[in-house]
Amino acid sequence: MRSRHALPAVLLAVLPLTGCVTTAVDSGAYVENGKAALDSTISATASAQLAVQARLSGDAPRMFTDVLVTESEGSIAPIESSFGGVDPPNPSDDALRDAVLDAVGTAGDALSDARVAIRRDDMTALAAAGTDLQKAQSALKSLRESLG
Amino acid sequence: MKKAFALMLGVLTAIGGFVDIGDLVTNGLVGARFGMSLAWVVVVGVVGICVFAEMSGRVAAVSGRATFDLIRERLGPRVGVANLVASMLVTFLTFAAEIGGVALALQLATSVNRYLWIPVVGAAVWLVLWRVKFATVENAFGLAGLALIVFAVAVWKLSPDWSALWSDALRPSVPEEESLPVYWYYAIALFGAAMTPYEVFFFSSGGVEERWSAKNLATMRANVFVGFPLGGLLSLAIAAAATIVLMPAKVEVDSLGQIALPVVQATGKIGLAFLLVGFFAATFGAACETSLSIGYSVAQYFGWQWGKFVEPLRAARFHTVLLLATVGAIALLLTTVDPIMLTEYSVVFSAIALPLTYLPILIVANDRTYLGDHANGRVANALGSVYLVVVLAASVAAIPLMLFTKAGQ
Repeated sequence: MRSRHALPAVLLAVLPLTGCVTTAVDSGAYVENGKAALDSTISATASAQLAVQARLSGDAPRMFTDVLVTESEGSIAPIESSFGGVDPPNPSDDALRDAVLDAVGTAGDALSDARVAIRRDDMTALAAAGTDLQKAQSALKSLRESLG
Repeated sequence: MKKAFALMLGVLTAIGGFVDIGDLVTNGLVGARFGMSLAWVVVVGVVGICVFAEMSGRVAAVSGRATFDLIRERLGPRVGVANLVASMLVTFLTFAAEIGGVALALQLATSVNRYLWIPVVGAAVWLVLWRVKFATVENAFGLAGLALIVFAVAVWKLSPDWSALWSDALRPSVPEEESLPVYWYYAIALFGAAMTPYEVFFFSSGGVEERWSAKNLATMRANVFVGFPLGGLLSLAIAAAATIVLMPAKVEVDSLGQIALPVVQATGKIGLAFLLVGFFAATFGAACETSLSIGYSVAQYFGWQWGKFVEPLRAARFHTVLLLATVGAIALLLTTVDPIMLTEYSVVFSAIALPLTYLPILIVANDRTYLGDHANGRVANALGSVYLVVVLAASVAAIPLMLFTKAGQ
């Protein structure tokens, strides 16, 4: 009887945890973590890039672009910490760790540059940041494709 | 002339008021991940909400009493309390998500952090519920919500491959990168967003607020059978816009700003201005509706005086519930919970609670003691029964799918 009453409470306690990143138990799981980190970074950079392009072509106001780019930049740190916080299961996975964290970090830097340019309303710097974002995104995509 | 105006106003507010934060987020998210392959769920959901909203509106118009009031009387306090708790919890989550949605819309317009806006929005919602007339709230936000038509304009201006969109919608399949359980998880979320329980309770209680009688049945049916499907088209436009712009860019929707990107790309600053008005009106209007639904449900269950058609002093307990719900929603949001994530969970929990909401409505709508000759006919009962099976299946499958897919990851 007690276990029946406990079930809804256990479910409620477990549900919020279902979105957490799983710990890598082997190389396969670690690669999956890497793919998830890259997918999230590609999404963040892609939405920022769309916003930056809209701003450069005069279609988006500064405040709207600022919100979108700041949100994208803000999503990079959790991605870095959740992937970087998982130990590679084997020494052979160290290269993957370095490659993913390097690509995510470069994207984060490009987003920071874009955010600064938007807040200064410096269109030249924003165009440069847009180019950097595009390069960072290409690097992320090719790394993601190499992981299958 | 006056009747035609009332009819048109009702239909327009039904269209503008159909979309809320759940529809905005879920359709944007699903469009970006699954393209138009889940469009059929919106159609199924819209037909379902039409079936039960019509029953609920008919009950209010003929009996002069709101659905929840009759559920407790007809099915007794035990069934009534199960219905009350389930619908209130889901509606409270939705209410908090709507306040968060208003704050997000204001953040997009001003770049002031959403957490600074949340208490201001909560206070504004409470003030509107305290001071502004019911019809003004319903009409003003419903009409302003029509600004979301800009999504349809954006889809047209983006000049998509229409045949590909149609084929995607008519021949649904799971995209290569997605799994079948995740596809069904989002199908349930989309279904929950379209059939949110608060909509029917608000609709029937609103009928009592506006003193509907059997004479208003035709107007009520026009609102439901014309307004709601056109509102459903707006939902499809949101999904289509995301399919055209966000899906190829591999954007995973986790903010309201991302949902706005296709509109900005297609229509520029003017389109964005319309969109922000639409976001604000849709979420603020829904925040008022969800808050009122909580007040209606509690007051009707306990038999208290309720409604905005009486002085607040005469419905003090009803207004106290509204105030407490608002304070609770602000407190929940100030824990820094992400309003978009809250919305995603609220639509899934809506799906879980659907049978507890819709079974009692079907029973009450069949009771000739209350409805006389206006009780359900064969068509309404057949559709209602089919939909009960669908909502039961969605409700049972929701939690296992949530656990299995790690909430749609």
